[in-house]
Order: sequence, then structure tokens, then C-alpha cells
Amino acid sequence: MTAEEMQYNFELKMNTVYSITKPWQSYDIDQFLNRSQDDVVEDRYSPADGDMRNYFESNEKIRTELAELITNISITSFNSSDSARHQNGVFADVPDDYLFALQEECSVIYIDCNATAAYDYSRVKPITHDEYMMNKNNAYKSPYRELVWRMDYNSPTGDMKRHELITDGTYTISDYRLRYLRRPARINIVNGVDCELNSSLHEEIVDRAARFAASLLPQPENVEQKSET
Amino acid sequence: MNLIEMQIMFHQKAEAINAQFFDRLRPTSFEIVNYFNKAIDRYVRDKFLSLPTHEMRRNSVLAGMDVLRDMVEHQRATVEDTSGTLPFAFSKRIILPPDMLCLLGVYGTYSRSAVPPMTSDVVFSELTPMESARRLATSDADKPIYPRPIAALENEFNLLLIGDAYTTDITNIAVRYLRKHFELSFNYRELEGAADGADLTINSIVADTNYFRALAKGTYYSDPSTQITVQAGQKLVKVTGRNDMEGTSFPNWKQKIGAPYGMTDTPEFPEYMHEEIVDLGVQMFMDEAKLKLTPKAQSA
Repeated sequence: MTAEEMQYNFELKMNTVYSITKPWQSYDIDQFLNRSQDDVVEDRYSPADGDMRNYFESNEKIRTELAELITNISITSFNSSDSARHQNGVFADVPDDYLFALQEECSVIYIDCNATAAYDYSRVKPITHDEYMMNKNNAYKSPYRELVWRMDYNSPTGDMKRHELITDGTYTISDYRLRYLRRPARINIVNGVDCELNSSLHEEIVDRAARFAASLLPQPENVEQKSET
Repeated sequence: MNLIEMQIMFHQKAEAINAQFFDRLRPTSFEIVNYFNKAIDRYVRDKFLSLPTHEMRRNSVLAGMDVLRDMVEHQRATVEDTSGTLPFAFSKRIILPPDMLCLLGVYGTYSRSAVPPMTSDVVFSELTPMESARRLATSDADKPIYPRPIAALENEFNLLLIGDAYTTDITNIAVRYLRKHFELSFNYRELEGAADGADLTINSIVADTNYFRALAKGTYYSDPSTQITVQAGQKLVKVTGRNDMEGTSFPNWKQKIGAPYGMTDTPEFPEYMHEEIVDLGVQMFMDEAKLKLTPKAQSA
């Protein structure tokens, strides 16, 4: 469904296609559609199902629906001078459209027993600040050559987020490969930017947008019911 | 009932009401016809058009279509492209016919790029006040969808046909409207072919460059070299040197014209209405007569 078809479908559900007194402009409808799109992505990533929660990649349907948003990036430039860093930590800027990490891996360089530089791959483990404090001096749980810790940090510029990658100081990170779920592009009717999610989700996005828009319209006042004699 | 029959009835009714009045103020034929024309105008105005909004007048006319059908015209509109000069993505200005009393509908061949796509579909436009049409204005924040064109009266001379942001073209625009009643006149003449499908010589009643009205389907000329198919009711101009109107080949169909255009010798109402028009004419005559016969107050 193109952006304009979404607008048509939205207006059809709101019963305003053939009404000259349209309550919403295209820009307003963009807002409803984008909010709805974000809700759909978040629900698919971690949908609540009664008391149970399903998670992304838990079944083929959800994998397919969000497949368009899976993106890969290789980060080779790190900030190692910021005063906010923890010991043995570096900051890596993640992209603006970053939403949720799916898989992380680092290439590391270390000096082997022959005193030459060697390369290896390390897993990346996201940890909380509490876990960092609890385990930073624990020899069995702290980072080593095949494990890098990752903590989250904000960026001083814009919406960009930073990942802080922490090693044990015996090796350096040369490449941080991040596979992530990105934020879908904003739907824009006037400029013709279509929804990039799987087409099977388009109808649901419009449905949710229409429901939300309808809730904002003034409701008719309750009519007093006639008492039956 | 034709004009002479109506005039006779006028005499009978006026004399029956007050013979003395009628003898003293005996109107001429010209005056009687004038009463009939005024009676028709008053009838149409009072019965169908004395309503505050165009929508109400239009509904009133549509409800009275059985009476008014002979006054409904349908013609190709004169159009001026206004796209880009108004805040609408697509608009065309229609020059309204000067004899229009009430606009009934506008339609054309409509094309749009999307939502839903259309290619040369005949679509009727929706009549709406100009103030409502502003919602179709495009802007940086709005690309409105309205899947049929809107017709809004701009002023007494013009109508705007407005398309939404996806409209690509509207062509062959035609308007359907209630026109003024043709003037009843003794100058009106009709000419009829001698036999079914036979050509009709028209120069005996239509002078060059004057207008006449086709009363049957046939073939004539829009200029000395271009032949056109003519429909019954169509307004035509006499082309110099083109004195024949070709008849159609339909059985029981004689070629016929009326001239000059804009006149008639029979009210354009159903037959059962004619006596009502005469009654109204007589009433108008009597009302005026009473004023004329009121003695002046004597000066002291």
C-alpha cells in the first residue's frame, strides 16, 4: 500500500473520503500512521499475549513481518577519550535509526605469546550498570579476549545512542559489528514516502491509526433515553 | 395550447370576471403576451426559486422536473484552465450560460493518477458552496483526496470545477441547468420538412447569422465547410450560404426548426399547466386594472 493509498484507506475507515468537511489534513494522518507504525513494530518485537510474552524471531510470522527492518553495520571508529568512559571502555556511535540490537560481535587484536599481533572474534554481552559494578573485579565474570561487555549511553548530539564496549585491557577492539532492528522510515503522504514494513502489516497500521483518530473526534453527547411507561 | 388559444382564453376569463373593466382597458395582443411572459416568470420564481440557498433551489427544481423539463438545457461548457492560479492542484473555470436560472449538474470526462486511478471516466461533479471547497486546497501539509470533482459557484458568471491533488484532467465538461423560459411571441415561426427524413430549407425564416433552434435531429453546419450532427433543442446560427438542414432517416420523423432562438408560441410547460398560466396572466391584468380604475381623490 502506498502512502496515498493508506490515506485513502484511512479516510474510508473514518468515512470521510466523500466528505468535503475532512477533519484531518495529510500531515495529521501522517502522525496517526507513524504512531501506529511504531506501535506495530514494538508489538511485534515483544508482543504481549495474555500473561505470556512472545519475542522477536519466536515464530516465522514475526520474523517475516519485521525482516525489512533488520540492518547490519560495522563500526570501526571509537571514542577512547571521553571522560564518561569506564575503565578499558570505548564509545561506539550507533546509527540514528537504531531501535533494538539483535546480534553483536567484535573483532579484537591482542598480542600473542610470540609477541606478535593476533586477531580473534569476541562475543558481546549487554550488561546493566549494576552488573558492571558487581562483576568488574570478578575474574570469572569480567571481560576476557572472547567476551566484550556492552553498556548503553546517550550521545551528546541528537537522538543518537552510544554503546560503551568494555574489555579487560589486554586486547583492543578493531571492529564492532552490530545487527539491529532499525526504526522504520516516517510515512509521508505529501512527499510520497511509503510505509516500508511488510505489506501484510499495512492494513493493521491503518486500522490502528483510524481507531486512534476516531478517539480524538468529539463524541456525540449522550441522549437521554426515554423512560418507558 | 398555443399563443392564440391562450389569448382567446384570456379574453373570455377577463370578460367573465368584469366585462366593464375589460371593455374600458381592453389590452392589445402585445400587452396580453406580456402578461403571459410575466406570469410565467412569476410562476417559476415563486414556485421553485424563491428559496434562500442554491441547494434548496436545486432540490426544488429537481422535485418539479415534471413541470420544468422543457426548460432544462444541457450543453458543452466554455472552459478556462485556472490550474496554478488558485490554491487548488487542479481547477477549471466554467463560463456559465447567460440564460441560466439554476444550475442542476456538471459532468465531464475525468482522469486521476491514483486513489482510485481513473482514465477518462464520465463523472458527475458535486455541487458545493465555494467556502466548503477550500478543503480541497493543497499545501505543504495537505494532499487532499476527493475522488470526484467539485463544482462551486464562483460568482454569477462563473463556476469553478475543482479537482483534488490526484486529478490529472477533466475534459468534455457539460452543464445541465434550468434556463429562462423562452419568450412567448407572435414573431416565432416553425418550419417543418415536407416528408420524413427530407431536407428542410431554412432561409425562408432565418436570416444569415441569426440563431434558430433545431426541433429534430439532423445535420447542419458550424461554418461554411464543417458539417455537424444536430440534436433536438440545439441552438444553431444560420451559416451564410447553407440554406438546407439535412433530415434524419428515422421513420415518422420530419425535420423541424423554430426561429428565432429564444422565442416560442407555446408555454414550455405541460399542456395541463397552460390554463394556470392564463389564469395568472388574467389575475395580473385585473390587479393592474384595479389600480388604473381607482378614481383620483378630488382636490379641495
